[in-house]
Amino acid sequence: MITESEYIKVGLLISGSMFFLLNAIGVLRFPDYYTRTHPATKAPAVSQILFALAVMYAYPAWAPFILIIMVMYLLTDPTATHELSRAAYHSGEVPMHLQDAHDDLRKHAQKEEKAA
Amino acid sequence: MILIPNFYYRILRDTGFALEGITFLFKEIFLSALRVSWQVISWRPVLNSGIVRIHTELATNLEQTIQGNCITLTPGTMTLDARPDIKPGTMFIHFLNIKNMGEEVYAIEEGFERRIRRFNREFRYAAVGLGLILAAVLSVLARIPGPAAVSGAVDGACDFSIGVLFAGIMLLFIRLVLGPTMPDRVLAGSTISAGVGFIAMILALQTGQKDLLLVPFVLYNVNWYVTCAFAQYMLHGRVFT
Repeated sequence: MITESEYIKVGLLISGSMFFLLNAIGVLRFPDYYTRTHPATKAPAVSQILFALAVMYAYPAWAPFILIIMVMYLLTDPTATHELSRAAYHSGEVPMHLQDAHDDLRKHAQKEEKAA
Repeated sequence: MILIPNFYYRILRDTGFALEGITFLFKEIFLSALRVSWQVISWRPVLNSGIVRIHTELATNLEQTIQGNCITLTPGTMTLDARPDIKPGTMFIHFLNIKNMGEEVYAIEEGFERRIRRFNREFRYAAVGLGLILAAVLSVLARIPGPAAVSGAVDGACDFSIGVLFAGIMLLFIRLVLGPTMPDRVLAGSTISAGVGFIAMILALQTGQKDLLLVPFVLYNVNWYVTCAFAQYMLHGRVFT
């Protein structure tokens, strides 16, 4: 006999893990570093939220810890990705997959190199 | 006597604003994940990516940091660089698909900027309200005992999702090995650590051991430091600048 609360927990767990698998496939499939950051940042954030909801639903007394973990993930992951992408762009070793891509930052990056 | 009702009114109103902003952020995160997942599944993903310059009205450092975080978490956009030296409030944003750039820029400027400015202006009152709500909710939740052991269906779902997460980690290992450049490898590694944290959370749910929740806590911290150290190393050739 499956109750209603079990349906919710099972749905949260399975959808969260599916988001993570999709993100992994996207990281494999997408053509360059900058497009890979999109699935690598967003899908784990969603699966983090879904897993946190599932654990909080099963054990309500753990809510403070789960909240801290969730907020920490949502704070650290975008900042780390931003830092890494910025370093990747300015190191000049990571090209974009389109040759004629729209790029407003290129001229400013070159100016910075000339000044330095 | 007039001051007291005004005080309560502001606490109520600003807490409402903050709750609305948090709901909006979560909605945007879900939408973005759905859109990116759709691009991942589709046979030919539409990836006209490009970097666009954007100007924000937000002045202080804290506001711009919050906005950069929110932009990274919302559909098809990632904050690549913030350059206050060109003009205060200039940001460069990487778009996954530059064709529907208009609506995303509109969402950034209309959605986030207004909410962040309002939140920052009223943030003491909102902090009081949110703290009271959190304290009430958590103290109620702390009295509810959890189950002694999870039931069969949830147990099976835990096993299944651990398997799926493991498959995802294996795929990320392929990217870690293949990765043509160094940031690819670092990105795959940080996502693997996120997956390991999720597995630990699900194991905590399955076995009922609270101590396992320390694993994601430590992993996310270390992951953040390591990624930032790699970034510093790539930019400057050394970690401590």
